[in-house]
Amino acid sequence: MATQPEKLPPQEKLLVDYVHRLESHRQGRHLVHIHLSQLRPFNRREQHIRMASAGFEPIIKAMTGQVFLLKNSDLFIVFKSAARAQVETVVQKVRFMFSDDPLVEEDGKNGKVFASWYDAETQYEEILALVNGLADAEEKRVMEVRNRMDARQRLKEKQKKGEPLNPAVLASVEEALSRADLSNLVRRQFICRVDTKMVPEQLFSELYISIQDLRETVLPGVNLVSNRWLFQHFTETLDRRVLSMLMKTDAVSISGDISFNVNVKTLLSNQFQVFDDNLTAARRGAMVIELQKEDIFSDLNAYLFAREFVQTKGYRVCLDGLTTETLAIIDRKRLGTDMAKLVWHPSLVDGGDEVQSYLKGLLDRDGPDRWILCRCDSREAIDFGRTVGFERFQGRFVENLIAEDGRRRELLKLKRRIERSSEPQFDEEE
Amino acid sequence: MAEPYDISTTQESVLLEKLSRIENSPAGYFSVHMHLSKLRASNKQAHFMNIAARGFDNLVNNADAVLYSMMNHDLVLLCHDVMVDDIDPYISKVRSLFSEDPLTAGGDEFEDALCTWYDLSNSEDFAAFLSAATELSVQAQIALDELRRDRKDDESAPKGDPLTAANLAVINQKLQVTRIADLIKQQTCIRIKPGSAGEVVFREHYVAVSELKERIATEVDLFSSVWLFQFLTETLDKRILAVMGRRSFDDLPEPISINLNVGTVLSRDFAQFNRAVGDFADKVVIEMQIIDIFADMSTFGYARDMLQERGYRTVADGINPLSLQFFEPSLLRTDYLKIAWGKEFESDEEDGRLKNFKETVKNAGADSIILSRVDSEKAVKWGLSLGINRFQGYFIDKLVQAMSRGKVKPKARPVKKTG
Repeated sequence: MATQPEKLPPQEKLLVDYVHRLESHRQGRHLVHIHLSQLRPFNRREQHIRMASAGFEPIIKAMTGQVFLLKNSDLFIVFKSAARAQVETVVQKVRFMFSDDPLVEEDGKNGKVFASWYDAETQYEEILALVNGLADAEEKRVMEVRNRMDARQRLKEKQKKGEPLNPAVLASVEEALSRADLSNLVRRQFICRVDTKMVPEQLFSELYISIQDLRETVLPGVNLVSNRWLFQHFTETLDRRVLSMLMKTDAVSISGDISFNVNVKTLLSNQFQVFDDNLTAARRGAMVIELQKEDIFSDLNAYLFAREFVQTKGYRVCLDGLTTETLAIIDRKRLGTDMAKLVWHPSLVDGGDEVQSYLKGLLDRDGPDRWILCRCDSREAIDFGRTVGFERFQGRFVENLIAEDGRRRELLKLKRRIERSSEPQFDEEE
Repeated sequence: MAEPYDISTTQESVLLEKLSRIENSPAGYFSVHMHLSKLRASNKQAHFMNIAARGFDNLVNNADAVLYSMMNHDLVLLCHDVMVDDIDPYISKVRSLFSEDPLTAGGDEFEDALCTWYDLSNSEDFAAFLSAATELSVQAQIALDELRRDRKDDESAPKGDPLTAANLAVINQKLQVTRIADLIKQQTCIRIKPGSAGEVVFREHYVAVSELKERIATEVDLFSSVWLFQFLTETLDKRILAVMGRRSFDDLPEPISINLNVGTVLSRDFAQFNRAVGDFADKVVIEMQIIDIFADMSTFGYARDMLQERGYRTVADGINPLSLQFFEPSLLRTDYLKIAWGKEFESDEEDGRLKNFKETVKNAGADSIILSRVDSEKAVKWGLSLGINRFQGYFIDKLVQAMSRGKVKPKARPVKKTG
């Protein structure tokens, strides 16, 4: 595909090169980072940014400084001490240009800063880390966008994950599903409290149908998740099967508290009424209903009604599928769910202090019992979670911990038995 | 379900009959009339009503109490020798189910808007309740008549079969080949500056789904599944992009806006459209729906940044007074937030929704708010009072009509030489 605009000289790269060269003559050099990317979109229009950047032209002409305009609209000016007063004046002018923007109005508050100043002599490492980080982020972004739009990538996906789902295929999958025995596709994953020694304590388990296995059993060669809307519809069909299965197993053979995913629409269906009628009040209290955020927002009216309905019956409700990006936008407390699950992703760590302090605040406000960090597939996830206040975890790594803990207990038992048998056995001698 | 055309079998009649039986010895009887008919239409769905009614199952099974479900969705509870305190939890359950509805918060110091209680051993109350029950019965008769007439007029159900994976395949196929250019409608978003004429922000181009349905799915209710409908919009996107891409953008007098799925923005179809737009991306506004945005926020982030970098403006569409209570749309960082005007905004100043709205206006900036579904001058005035000056809706359509009738439209620009 022709994407000429992207072939423009990347300012990010130029900035990195420049900062590298700066290493040998840091003395008397300064850098100011103007956070124009934090402006409201309305103020971030190209002409505004160009105007802001043009203000520094005289400094470039006088050879006392260099200006870099990054793709995210941030401005970097590297300048000599002699030009400091001049740079400060221009920064003030730029500030004035955007004086009605919250970024300027709230400068210094809520972690918002209009401009950050650095002295290359004393803060060189900091500068280097900053520009490297920005360049990496930009490169990653371009790569990902390209991947998403790339036919090659799509083809690769198709070869790896199967034919994309289309309505006709979906219809036949649903047909096949109505006859298939799903009981051997039910998987169980535990939500655990994990202590500092990485010893897990099982709190409740999520029951779900393994989509991966389902695909292989019911319709090999079809990528069920390739279209989010068709998949979402498919989950409604799946919900009904899960409910009837939970009913058959009486949910009694399943020990302990359990959670399962359903759609709001399912909670309002007759099927759920029947399911509910078959449960004792005590059993309801042992169940957690997990709802997806997009499902909730597709019909808030229905969600509010359903949430109230199941909560008064005694079920607990968990908001599922929060991510780094949605965390700040969707508030568990406002939605009135008992719990929320945040999906672990390394980007949580990349988010730096801002994300960490935000999460800390949330966990402080709600208490650790309301939050679960899920899809933890590495120790890093648990370590990160603990530092911001998570106590409850779920995911492959947690499953490993459980297995490990089981082995350790077995060994301990064995050891005790050996110890006991090697003790002097007076009784038998008598 | 039995054919319910006979008034004598309705719950309303059964209730009246019961009243006549207890009229001579009403001691210990009382009734609670719950006015669910006054809920907002969106809360009056059949499955909501079933769940609300079933909430009384326990009471009805274990005490001398009967629940009557009226045709207009009202519920009437008739009890004999039951403690009021034992009834309260059931009523508050109903109240909490509809806690977002103005009805449950309404009422004044004299009366609760949700329920009216009648002590039937008191002859005044009995008379009042009898007249209320009679009124309900009359309404039921009228409703039945209408139902019967509708049935005669139109044998098929008005909405049609539900949308399923099976019929979706056929409909989607039709959508790919059906002519849609003539179904594209326009609605103008204008900027109103006090003391001067309105100025066009953009003209939204959209396909009228009701007309599209006539062409591709007469028998099917396209809205019966949110997800499958959303799938159809992906196909529709491609068709619209193809039609709009044939426009010449350099002499477009006013900016246009189109609704797209996030996935479409990152597709080849859009890349092609982008080439057609050329250097005139500032004349194109792309609207994306909240439901789509939430489904994959990171992809949305890419799409938004890409659009903004190329000079397009972006809109987060599908925000309403209710949803504002549950998330902060200014964090989506689109150029505009399109928020539907709703009656909720009219109510008292203390209302939480208004507070949330003001918060959003403050966070996003009044210049990024578009108040849509504006159907009255009142709504415009309300918006202006909060500093909002971009509007869209039926009322604005009329205004735009008057504007173009009132004066000769200014000529856009001299014809450009080509070639």
